[in-house]
Amino acid sequence: MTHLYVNIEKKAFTPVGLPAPSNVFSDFKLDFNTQQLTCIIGPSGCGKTTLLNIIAGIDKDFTGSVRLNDQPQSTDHKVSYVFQTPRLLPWRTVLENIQLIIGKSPSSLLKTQQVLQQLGLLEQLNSYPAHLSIGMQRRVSLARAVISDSETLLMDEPFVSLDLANATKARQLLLQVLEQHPKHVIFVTHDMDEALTLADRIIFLSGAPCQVLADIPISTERLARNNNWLKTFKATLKKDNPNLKTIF
Amino acid sequence: MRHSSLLKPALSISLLLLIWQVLSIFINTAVLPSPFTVFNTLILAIKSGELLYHLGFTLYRLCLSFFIAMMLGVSIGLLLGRSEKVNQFFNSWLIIFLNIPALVTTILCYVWFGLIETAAIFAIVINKLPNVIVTIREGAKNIDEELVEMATVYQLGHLKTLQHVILPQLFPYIMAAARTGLSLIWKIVLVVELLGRSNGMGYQIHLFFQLFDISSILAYTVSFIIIIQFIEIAILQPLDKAAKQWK
Repeated sequence: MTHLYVNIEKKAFTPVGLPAPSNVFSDFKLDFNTQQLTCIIGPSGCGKTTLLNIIAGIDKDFTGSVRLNDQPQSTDHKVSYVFQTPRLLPWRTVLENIQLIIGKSPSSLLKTQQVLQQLGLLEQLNSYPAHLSIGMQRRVSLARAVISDSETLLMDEPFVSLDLANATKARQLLLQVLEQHPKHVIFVTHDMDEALTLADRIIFLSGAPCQVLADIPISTERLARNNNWLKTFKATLKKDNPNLKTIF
Repeated sequence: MRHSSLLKPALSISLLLLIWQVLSIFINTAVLPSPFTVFNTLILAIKSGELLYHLGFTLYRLCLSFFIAMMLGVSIGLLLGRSEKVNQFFNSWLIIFLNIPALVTTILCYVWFGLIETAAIFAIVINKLPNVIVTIREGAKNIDEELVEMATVYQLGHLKTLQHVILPQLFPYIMAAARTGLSLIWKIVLVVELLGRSNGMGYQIHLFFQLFDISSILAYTVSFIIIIQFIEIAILQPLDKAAKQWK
Protein backbone atom coordinates (compact mmCIF):
# COMPACT_ATOMS: atom_id res chain seq x y z
CA MET A 1 0.00 0.00 0.00
CA THR A 2 1.37 3.39 -0.98
CA HIS A 3 1.28 6.38 1.29
CA LEU A 4 1.89 10.06 0.70
CA TYR A 5 3.43 11.74 3.74
CA VAL A 6 3.06 15.47 4.20
CA ASN A 7 5.14 17.02 6.93
CA ILE A 8 5.07 20.81 7.24
CA GLU A 9 7.29 21.95 10.07
CA LYS A 10 6.67 25.58 9.34
CA LYS A 11 4.83 27.63 6.75
CA ALA A 12 4.50 31.35 7.45
CA PHE A 13 2.49 33.89 5.54
CA THR A 14 2.42 37.68 5.88
CA PRO A 15 -1.10 38.97 5.33
CA VAL A 16 -1.43 42.32 3.54
CA GLY A 17 -1.35 45.17 6.06
CA LEU A 18 0.17 43.17 8.89
CA PRO A 19 3.83 43.67 9.78
CA ALA A 20 4.63 40.24 11.24
CA PRO A 21 4.20 36.92 9.44
CA SER A 22 1.72 34.52 10.99
CA ASN A 23 2.05 30.75 10.96
CA VAL A 24 -0.34 28.96 8.66
CA PHE A 25 1.13 25.56 9.51
CA SER A 26 3.46 24.53 12.27
CA ASP A 27 4.33 20.91 13.05
CA PHE A 28 1.59 19.74 10.72
CA LYS A 29 1.65 16.06 9.73
CA LEU A 30 -0.73 14.19 7.49
CA ASP A 31 -0.51 10.97 5.54
CA PHE A 32 -2.68 9.90 2.66
CA ASN A 33 -3.46 6.37 1.57
CA THR A 34 -3.08 6.61 -2.19
CA GLN A 35 -5.88 4.09 -2.83
CA GLN A 36 -8.43 6.47 -1.38
CA LEU A 37 -10.40 9.61 -2.13
CA THR A 38 -9.73 11.95 0.78
CA CYS A 39 -11.81 15.07 1.34
CA ILE A 40 -10.47 18.01 3.31
CA ILE A 41 -12.89 20.37 5.04
CA GLY A 42 -11.96 23.52 6.93
CA PRO A 43 -12.93 27.14 7.47
CA SER A 44 -11.99 29.52 4.65
CA GLY A 45 -8.49 30.94 4.95
CA CYS A 46 -7.25 28.03 7.08
CA GLY A 47 -4.69 26.98 4.47
CA LYS A 48 -6.45 24.30 2.43
CA THR A 49 -5.29 25.72 -0.90
CA THR A 50 -1.81 26.29 0.55
CA LEU A 51 -1.72 22.63 1.55
CA LEU A 52 -2.62 21.56 -2.00
CA ASN A 53 -0.06 23.97 -3.48
CA ILE A 54 2.63 22.49 -1.23
CA ILE A 55 1.70 18.95 -2.29
CA ALA A 56 1.63 20.08 -5.95
CA GLY A 57 5.13 21.57 -5.64
CA ILE A 58 4.01 25.08 -6.62
CA ASP A 59 4.59 26.45 -3.13
CA LYS A 60 8.19 25.72 -2.15
CA ASP A 61 8.45 28.38 0.53
CA PHE A 62 8.05 26.12 3.58
CA THR A 63 10.11 23.95 5.91
CA GLY A 64 9.29 20.26 5.72
CA SER A 65 8.76 17.60 3.11
CA VAL A 66 6.28 15.81 0.90
CA ARG A 67 7.29 12.18 0.42
CA LEU A 68 5.90 9.12 -1.27
CA ASN A 69 6.24 6.02 1.01
CA ASP A 70 9.30 6.07 3.22
CA GLN A 71 11.74 7.40 0.68
CA PRO A 72 14.35 9.52 2.41
CA GLN A 73 14.05 12.50 0.05
CA SER A 74 11.21 14.58 -1.27
CA THR A 75 10.14 12.83 -4.43
CA ASP A 76 9.01 14.29 -7.66
CA HIS A 77 5.78 12.33 -7.81
CA LYS A 78 3.47 13.27 -10.63
CA VAL A 79 0.52 15.42 -9.72
CA SER A 80 -2.44 16.79 -11.60
CA TYR A 81 -4.51 19.63 -10.27
CA VAL A 82 -8.04 20.89 -10.85
CA PHE A 83 -7.79 24.50 -9.70
CA GLN A 84 -10.68 26.68 -8.55
CA THR A 85 -10.55 28.36 -11.96
CA PRO A 86 -10.14 26.18 -15.10
CA ARG A 87 -6.71 27.60 -16.06
CA LEU A 88 -6.90 26.55 -19.71
CA LEU A 89 -4.66 28.20 -22.28
CA PRO A 90 -7.08 30.44 -24.23
CA TRP A 91 -5.03 30.26 -27.45
CA ARG A 92 -5.25 26.46 -27.65
CA THR A 93 -8.31 24.34 -28.41
CA VAL A 94 -9.65 21.77 -25.92
CA LEU A 95 -7.68 19.02 -27.65
CA GLU A 96 -4.52 21.14 -27.91
CA ASN A 97 -4.75 22.04 -24.21
CA ILE A 98 -4.82 18.36 -23.29
CA GLN A 99 -2.20 17.35 -25.87
CA LEU A 100 0.21 19.89 -24.43
CA ILE A 101 0.24 17.78 -21.24
CA ILE A 102 0.10 14.23 -22.61
CA GLY A 103 1.59 14.48 -26.10
CA LYS A 104 0.13 13.66 -29.51
CA SER A 105 0.38 9.85 -29.73
CA PRO A 106 -2.64 7.96 -31.18
CA SER A 107 -3.22 6.17 -27.86
CA SER A 108 -3.38 9.44 -25.94
CA LEU A 109 -5.82 10.82 -28.52
CA LEU A 110 -8.04 7.78 -27.97
CA LYS A 111 -7.90 8.24 -24.20
CA THR A 112 -8.73 11.95 -24.59
CA GLN A 113 -11.73 11.14 -26.78
CA GLN A 114 -12.99 8.53 -24.30
CA VAL A 115 -12.81 10.84 -21.31
CA LEU A 116 -14.26 13.82 -23.18
CA GLN A 117 -17.14 11.64 -24.34
CA GLN A 118 -17.81 10.57 -20.76
CA LEU A 119 -17.86 14.22 -19.75
CA GLY A 120 -20.11 15.16 -22.68
CA LEU A 121 -17.47 17.29 -24.39
CA LEU A 122 -16.61 15.32 -27.51
CA GLU A 123 -18.23 17.90 -29.81
CA GLN A 124 -16.13 20.63 -28.23
CA LEU A 125 -12.85 18.85 -29.05
CA ASN A 126 -11.71 21.60 -31.41
CA SER A 127 -13.32 24.59 -29.67
CA TYR A 128 -11.36 27.37 -28.02
CA PRO A 129 -12.04 27.82 -24.26
CA ALA A 130 -13.57 31.28 -24.85
CA HIS A 131 -16.37 29.60 -26.80
CA LEU A 132 -17.29 27.25 -23.93
CA SER A 133 -19.45 27.92 -20.88
CA ILE A 134 -17.66 28.07 -17.54
CA GLY A 135 -19.14 24.69 -16.60
CA MET A 136 -17.69 23.16 -19.77
CA GLN A 137 -14.31 24.77 -19.10
CA ARG A 138 -14.32 23.19 -15.64
CA ARG A 139 -15.02 19.81 -17.17
CA VAL A 140 -12.14 20.27 -19.64
CA SER A 141 -9.91 21.12 -16.69
CA LEU A 142 -11.10 17.91 -14.98
CA ALA A 143 -10.52 15.92 -18.18
CA ARG A 144 -6.97 17.29 -18.46
CA ALA A 145 -6.24 16.32 -14.86
CA VAL A 146 -7.69 12.82 -15.22
CA ILE A 147 -6.01 12.04 -18.56
CA SER A 148 -2.53 13.15 -17.45
CA ASP A 149 -0.51 10.21 -16.16
CA SER A 150 -0.35 11.53 -12.60
CA GLU A 151 -0.40 9.50 -9.41
CA THR A 152 -2.21 12.09 -7.33
CA LEU A 153 -5.16 14.24 -8.39
CA LEU A 154 -5.63 17.42 -6.38
CA MET A 155 -8.97 19.19 -6.52
CA ASP A 156 -9.56 22.61 -5.01
CA GLU A 157 -13.31 23.26 -4.60
CA PRO A 158 -13.79 22.32 -8.26
CA PHE A 159 -17.61 22.53 -8.21
CA VAL A 160 -17.96 25.61 -6.03
CA SER A 161 -19.73 27.92 -8.48
CA LEU A 162 -22.05 25.31 -10.00
CA ASP A 163 -25.72 25.16 -9.01
CA LEU A 164 -27.02 22.18 -7.04
CA ALA A 165 -28.17 20.08 -10.02
CA ASN A 166 -24.99 20.66 -12.03
CA ALA A 167 -22.76 20.06 -9.01
CA THR A 168 -24.47 16.71 -8.36
CA LYS A 169 -24.01 15.80 -12.01
CA ALA A 170 -20.37 16.87 -11.93
CA ARG A 171 -19.72 14.72 -8.84
CA GLN A 172 -21.27 11.70 -10.54
CA LEU A 173 -19.13 12.31 -13.60
CA LEU A 174 -16.04 12.58 -11.43
CA LEU A 175 -16.78 9.20 -9.81
CA GLN A 176 -17.48 7.61 -13.20
CA VAL A 177 -14.27 8.92 -14.71
CA LEU A 178 -12.26 7.84 -11.67
CA GLU A 179 -13.70 4.34 -11.97
CA GLN A 180 -12.19 4.07 -15.47
CA HIS A 181 -8.96 5.89 -14.59
CA PRO A 182 -8.25 5.26 -10.88
CA LYS A 183 -6.15 7.88 -9.11
CA HIS A 184 -5.28 8.98 -5.63
CA VAL A 185 -7.54 12.00 -5.00
CA ILE A 186 -7.25 14.80 -2.47
CA PHE A 187 -10.39 16.89 -2.66
CA VAL A 188 -10.74 20.22 -0.86
CA THR A 189 -14.25 21.48 -0.22
CA HIS A 190 -16.29 23.50 2.27
CA ASP A 191 -19.47 21.58 1.45
CA MET A 192 -20.12 18.85 4.03
CA ASP A 193 -22.66 17.00 1.86
CA GLU A 194 -20.24 16.98 -1.07
CA ALA A 195 -17.51 15.50 1.12
CA LEU A 196 -19.85 12.87 2.57
CA THR A 197 -20.99 11.83 -0.91
CA LEU A 198 -17.51 11.44 -2.35
CA ALA A 199 -15.00 10.57 0.33
CA ASP A 200 -13.44 7.39 1.64
CA ARG A 201 -12.05 9.54 4.39
CA ILE A 202 -12.73 13.09 5.59
CA ILE A 203 -10.15 15.29 7.32
CA PHE A 204 -11.44 18.29 9.26
CA LEU A 205 -9.00 21.17 9.65
CA SER A 206 -9.03 24.02 12.17
CA GLY A 207 -8.41 27.71 11.52
CA ALA A 208 -4.83 29.06 11.53
CA PRO A 209 -2.48 27.69 12.69
CA CYS A 210 -3.94 24.74 10.88
CA GLN A 211 -4.41 21.49 12.81
CA VAL A 212 -6.30 18.28 12.16
CA LEU A 213 -9.54 18.40 14.20
CA ALA A 214 -10.89 15.04 13.18
CA ASP A 215 -10.03 12.25 10.77
CA ILE A 216 -13.13 10.26 9.81
CA PRO A 217 -13.06 7.15 7.60
CA ILE A 218 -16.27 6.34 5.71
CA SER A 219 -16.78 2.72 4.73
CA THR A 220 -20.37 2.88 3.48
CA GLU A 221 -20.76 2.14 -0.24
CA ARG A 222 -21.16 5.37 -2.21
CA LEU A 223 -24.40 4.14 -3.78
CA ALA A 224 -25.90 3.60 -0.32
CA ARG A 225 -25.27 7.17 0.77
CA ASN A 226 -28.78 8.56 0.35
CA ASN A 227 -30.33 11.56 2.13
CA ASN A 228 -31.30 9.56 5.19
CA TRP A 229 -27.83 8.16 5.53
CA LEU A 230 -26.37 11.68 5.22
CA LYS A 231 -28.63 12.92 8.04
CA THR A 232 -27.83 10.09 10.43
CA PHE A 233 -24.11 10.23 9.67
CA LYS A 234 -23.97 13.97 10.31
CA ALA A 235 -25.89 13.61 13.57
CA THR A 236 -23.52 10.92 14.86
CA LEU A 237 -20.53 12.94 13.69
CA LYS A 238 -21.78 15.98 15.61
CA LYS A 239 -22.36 13.96 18.77
CA ASP A 240 -19.01 12.14 18.68
CA ASN A 241 -16.91 15.21 17.82
CA PRO A 242 -17.97 18.24 19.84
CA ASN A 243 -14.84 20.09 18.64
CA LEU A 244 -16.31 20.23 15.13
CA LYS A 245 -19.02 22.69 16.09
CA THR A 246 -17.37 25.48 14.08
CA ILE A 247 -17.83 23.43 10.92
CA PHE A 248 -21.53 22.62 11.43
CA MET B 1 -17.74 47.14 -46.99
CA ARG B 2 -14.74 46.20 -49.07
CA HIS B 3 -15.21 49.14 -51.40
CA SER B 4 -15.43 51.72 -48.66
CA SER B 5 -12.45 50.23 -46.80
CA LEU B 6 -10.29 50.76 -49.89
CA LEU B 7 -11.95 53.98 -50.97
CA LYS B 8 -11.30 56.01 -47.86
CA PRO B 9 -7.48 55.65 -47.73
CA ALA B 10 -7.33 56.23 -51.50
CA LEU B 11 -9.32 59.43 -51.15
CA SER B 12 -7.22 60.70 -48.28
CA ILE B 13 -3.95 60.00 -50.11
CA SER B 14 -5.33 61.74 -53.23
CA LEU B 15 -6.22 64.78 -51.16
CA LEU B 16 -2.67 64.92 -49.80
CA LEU B 17 -1.24 64.69 -53.32
CA LEU B 18 -3.63 67.39 -54.49
CA ILE B 19 -2.56 69.79 -51.73
CA TRP B 20 1.07 69.08 -52.60
CA GLN B 21 0.42 69.70 -56.30
CA VAL B 22 -1.44 72.97 -55.68
CA LEU B 23 1.24 74.18 -53.28
CA SER B 24 4.06 73.40 -55.70
CA ILE B 25 2.27 75.28 -58.53
CA PHE B 26 1.46 78.17 -56.23
CA ILE B 27 4.94 78.54 -54.73
CA ASN B 28 6.71 77.58 -57.96
CA THR B 29 10.22 77.00 -56.59
CA ALA B 30 12.90 74.35 -57.01
CA VAL B 31 12.77 73.38 -53.32
CA LEU B 32 9.20 72.01 -53.64
CA PRO B 33 8.96 69.93 -56.82
CA SER B 34 5.50 68.72 -57.88
CA PRO B 35 4.38 65.10 -57.27
CA PHE B 36 4.83 64.43 -61.00
CA THR B 37 8.47 65.55 -61.01
CA VAL B 38 9.13 63.40 -57.95
CA PHE B 39 7.40 60.42 -59.56
CA ASN B 40 9.54 60.81 -62.71
CA THR B 41 12.71 61.04 -60.62
CA LEU B 42 11.62 57.89 -58.76
CA ILE B 43 11.14 55.97 -62.03
CA LEU B 44 14.51 57.14 -63.35
CA ALA B 45 16.25 56.17 -60.09
CA ILE B 46 14.67 52.71 -60.18
CA LYS B 47 15.61 52.23 -63.85
CA SER B 48 19.24 53.22 -63.27
CA GLY B 49 19.39 50.65 -60.43
CA GLU B 50 20.84 53.21 -58.07
CA LEU B 51 17.82 53.40 -55.80
CA LEU B 52 17.50 49.63 -55.47
CA TYR B 53 21.21 49.29 -54.66
CA HIS B 54 21.07 51.80 -51.81
CA LEU B 55 17.62 50.72 -50.63
CA GLY B 56 18.91 47.15 -50.54
CA PHE B 57 21.80 48.10 -48.23
CA THR B 58 19.49 50.05 -45.94
CA LEU B 59 16.95 47.22 -45.78
CA TYR B 60 19.72 44.73 -45.04
CA ARG B 61 20.91 46.85 -42.08
CA LEU B 62 17.33 47.39 -40.99
CA CYS B 63 16.48 43.67 -40.96
CA LEU B 64 19.68 42.53 -39.29
CA SER B 65 19.61 45.11 -36.50
CA PHE B 66 15.83 44.66 -36.07
CA PHE B 67 16.15 40.92 -35.45
CA ILE B 68 19.16 41.26 -33.15
CA ALA B 69 17.43 43.99 -31.14
CA MET B 70 14.18 42.02 -30.90
CA MET B 71 15.85 38.75 -29.83
CA LEU B 72 18.01 40.47 -27.20
CA GLY B 73 15.20 42.78 -26.10
CA VAL B 74 12.67 39.98 -25.59
CA SER B 75 15.17 37.90 -23.58
CA ILE B 76 16.33 40.77 -21.38
CA GLY B 77 12.82 42.22 -21.01
CA LEU B 78 11.49 38.84 -19.94
CA LEU B 79 14.28 38.44 -17.40
CA LEU B 80 13.67 41.91 -15.92
CA GLY B 81 9.89 41.49 -15.90
CA ARG B 82 10.01 38.10 -14.20
CA SER B 83 12.58 38.95 -11.53
CA GLU B 84 11.93 42.01 -9.40
CA LYS B 85 15.46 41.91 -7.90
CA VAL B 86 17.23 41.95 -11.28
CA ASN B 87 14.82 44.65 -12.44
CA GLN B 88 15.55 46.90 -9.48
CA PHE B 89 19.29 46.51 -10.02
CA PHE B 90 19.31 47.23 -13.76
CA ASN B 91 16.48 49.76 -13.95
CA SER B 92 18.85 52.74 -13.78
CA TRP B 93 20.97 51.31 -16.62
CA LEU B 94 17.85 51.11 -18.71
CA ILE B 95 16.92 54.73 -18.03
CA ILE B 96 20.43 55.87 -18.96
CA PHE B 97 20.43 53.93 -22.25
CA LEU B 98 16.88 55.08 -23.07
CA ASN B 99 18.00 58.70 -22.89
CA ILE B 100 21.37 58.70 -24.67
CA PRO B 101 20.82 60.46 -28.02
CA ALA B 102 21.15 58.25 -31.09
CA LEU B 103 23.77 60.62 -32.49
CA VAL B 104 26.04 60.11 -29.45
CA THR B 105 25.94 56.30 -29.48
CA THR B 106 26.48 56.27 -33.24
CA ILE B 107 29.53 58.55 -33.10
CA LEU B 108 30.96 56.60 -30.15
CA CYS B 109 30.50 53.29 -31.97
CA TYR B 110 32.33 54.62 -35.05
CA VAL B 111 35.12 56.07 -32.90
CA TRP B 112 35.57 52.92 -30.82
CA PHE B 113 35.11 50.25 -33.50
CA GLY B 114 36.03 52.13 -36.67
CA LEU B 115 33.94 52.97 -39.73
CA ILE B 116 32.89 49.37 -40.30
CA GLU B 117 29.60 47.56 -40.92
CA THR B 118 29.60 45.90 -37.47
CA ALA B 119 29.87 49.29 -35.78
CA ALA B 120 26.90 50.55 -37.80
CA ILE B 121 24.71 47.55 -36.91
CA PHE B 122 25.84 47.71 -33.28
CA ALA B 123 24.94 51.41 -33.08
CA ILE B 124 21.42 50.75 -34.42
CA VAL B 125 20.89 47.83 -32.02
CA ILE B 126 22.05 49.86 -29.01
CA ASN B 127 19.57 52.60 -29.89
CA LYS B 128 16.64 50.29 -30.41
CA LEU B 129 17.26 47.77 -27.59
CA PRO B 130 16.09 49.80 -24.53
CA ASN B 131 12.69 50.43 -26.14
CA VAL B 132 12.11 46.74 -26.76
CA ILE B 133 13.22 45.87 -23.23
CA VAL B 134 10.82 48.37 -21.63
CA THR B 135 7.83 47.15 -23.68
CA ILE B 136 8.54 43.45 -23.13
CA ARG B 137 9.23 44.02 -19.42
CA GLU B 138 5.74 45.48 -19.10
CA GLY B 139 4.34 42.40 -20.82
CA ALA B 140 6.33 40.03 -18.63
CA LYS B 141 4.97 41.72 -15.50
CA ASN B 142 1.43 41.06 -16.73
CA ILE B 143 1.93 37.35 -17.35
CA ASP B 144 -0.82 35.25 -15.76
CA GLU B 145 0.87 33.47 -12.83
CA GLU B 146 -2.00 31.00 -12.61
CA LEU B 147 -1.17 29.61 -16.05
CA VAL B 148 2.53 29.40 -15.18
CA GLU B 149 1.60 27.45 -12.02
CA MET B 150 -0.48 25.11 -14.16
CA ALA B 151 2.56 24.52 -16.38
CA THR B 152 4.68 23.81 -13.27
CA VAL B 153 2.19 21.31 -11.85
CA TYR B 154 2.01 19.40 -15.12
CA GLN B 155 5.83 19.48 -15.43
CA LEU B 156 5.92 21.08 -18.87
CA GLY B 157 9.57 22.10 -18.50
CA HIS B 158 11.15 25.47 -19.24
CA LEU B 159 11.14 25.31 -23.03
CA LYS B 160 7.50 24.25 -23.43
CA THR B 161 6.37 26.73 -20.79
CA LEU B 162 8.17 29.51 -22.64
CA GLN B 163 6.84 28.45 -26.02
CA HIS B 164 3.23 27.67 -25.15
CA VAL B 165 2.45 29.61 -21.98
CA ILE B 166 4.66 32.71 -21.83
CA LEU B 167 5.32 33.77 -25.44
CA PRO B 168 1.63 33.71 -26.49
CA GLN B 169 0.90 36.12 -23.63
CA LEU B 170 3.82 38.33 -24.69
CA PHE B 171 2.74 38.38 -28.33
CA PRO B 172 0.80 41.70 -28.24
CA TYR B 173 3.79 43.35 -26.57
CA ILE B 174 6.20 41.85 -29.10
CA MET B 175 4.01 43.22 -31.90
CA ALA B 176 3.92 46.66 -30.28
CA ALA B 177 7.71 46.60 -29.89
CA ALA B 178 8.08 45.52 -33.52
CA ARG B 179 5.87 48.33 -34.84
CA THR B 180 7.43 51.17 -32.86
CA GLY B 181 10.83 49.55 -33.35
CA LEU B 182 10.57 49.46 -37.10
CA SER B 183 9.81 53.16 -37.37
CA LEU B 184 12.55 54.01 -34.86
CA ILE B 185 15.20 51.87 -36.57
CA TRP B 186 14.29 53.36 -39.94
CA LYS B 187 15.10 56.82 -38.58
CA ILE B 188 18.30 55.75 -36.86
CA VAL B 189 19.65 53.69 -39.74
CA LEU B 190 19.70 56.78 -42.00
CA VAL B 191 21.69 58.78 -39.41
CA VAL B 192 24.12 55.91 -38.99
CA GLU B 193 24.59 55.66 -42.78
CA LEU B 194 24.96 59.41 -43.14
CA LEU B 195 27.73 59.50 -40.53
CA GLY B 196 29.89 56.59 -41.54
CA ARG B 197 28.84 54.49 -44.52
CA SER B 198 29.40 54.95 -48.25
CA ASN B 199 26.12 53.36 -49.33
CA GLY B 200 22.50 53.18 -48.24
CA MET B 201 19.64 55.66 -48.20
CA GLY B 202 21.20 57.87 -45.54
CA TYR B 203 24.38 58.25 -47.56
CA GLN B 204 22.41 59.06 -50.76
CA ILE B 205 20.16 61.61 -49.05
CA HIS B 206 23.24 63.32 -47.62
CA LEU B 207 24.66 63.47 -51.14
CA PHE B 208 21.42 64.93 -52.56
CA PHE B 209 21.40 67.49 -49.78
CA GLN B 210 24.85 68.69 -50.81
CA LEU B 211 23.67 68.84 -54.45
CA PHE B 212 20.41 70.48 -53.35
CA ASP B 213 18.49 67.80 -55.29
CA ILE B 214 15.14 67.99 -53.48
CA SER B 215 13.17 65.90 -55.94
CA SER B 216 15.59 62.97 -55.45
CA ILE B 217 15.31 63.29 -51.67
CA LEU B 218 11.52 63.14 -51.96
CA ALA B 219 11.66 60.26 -54.46
CA TYR B 220 13.80 58.20 -52.04
CA THR B 221 11.43 59.06 -49.20
CA VAL B 222 8.43 57.89 -51.24
CA SER B 223 10.13 54.57 -52.02
CA PHE B 224 10.76 54.17 -48.34
CA ILE B 225 7.12 54.87 -47.40
CA ILE B 226 5.99 52.25 -49.92
CA ILE B 227 8.30 49.65 -48.35
CA ILE B 228 7.01 50.37 -44.82
CA GLN B 229 3.39 50.11 -46.00
CA PHE B 230 4.26 46.81 -47.63
CA ILE B 231 5.80 45.46 -44.39
CA GLU B 232 2.71 46.56 -42.43
CA ILE B 233 0.19 45.02 -44.84
CA ALA B 234 2.07 41.90 -45.93
CA ILE B 235 3.77 40.90 -42.66
CA LEU B 236 2.50 42.63 -39.51
CA GLN B 237 -1.25 42.62 -40.18
CA PRO B 238 -1.44 38.91 -41.15
CA LEU B 239 0.59 38.10 -37.99
CA ASP B 240 -1.91 40.08 -35.91
CA LYS B 241 -4.78 38.28 -37.52
CA ALA B 242 -3.28 34.83 -37.01
CA ALA B 243 -2.67 35.52 -33.34
CA LYS B 244 -6.24 36.68 -32.72
CA GLN B 245 -7.78 33.55 -34.22
CA TRP B 246 -8.80 32.17 -30.82
CA LYS B 247 -10.59 35.31 -29.61
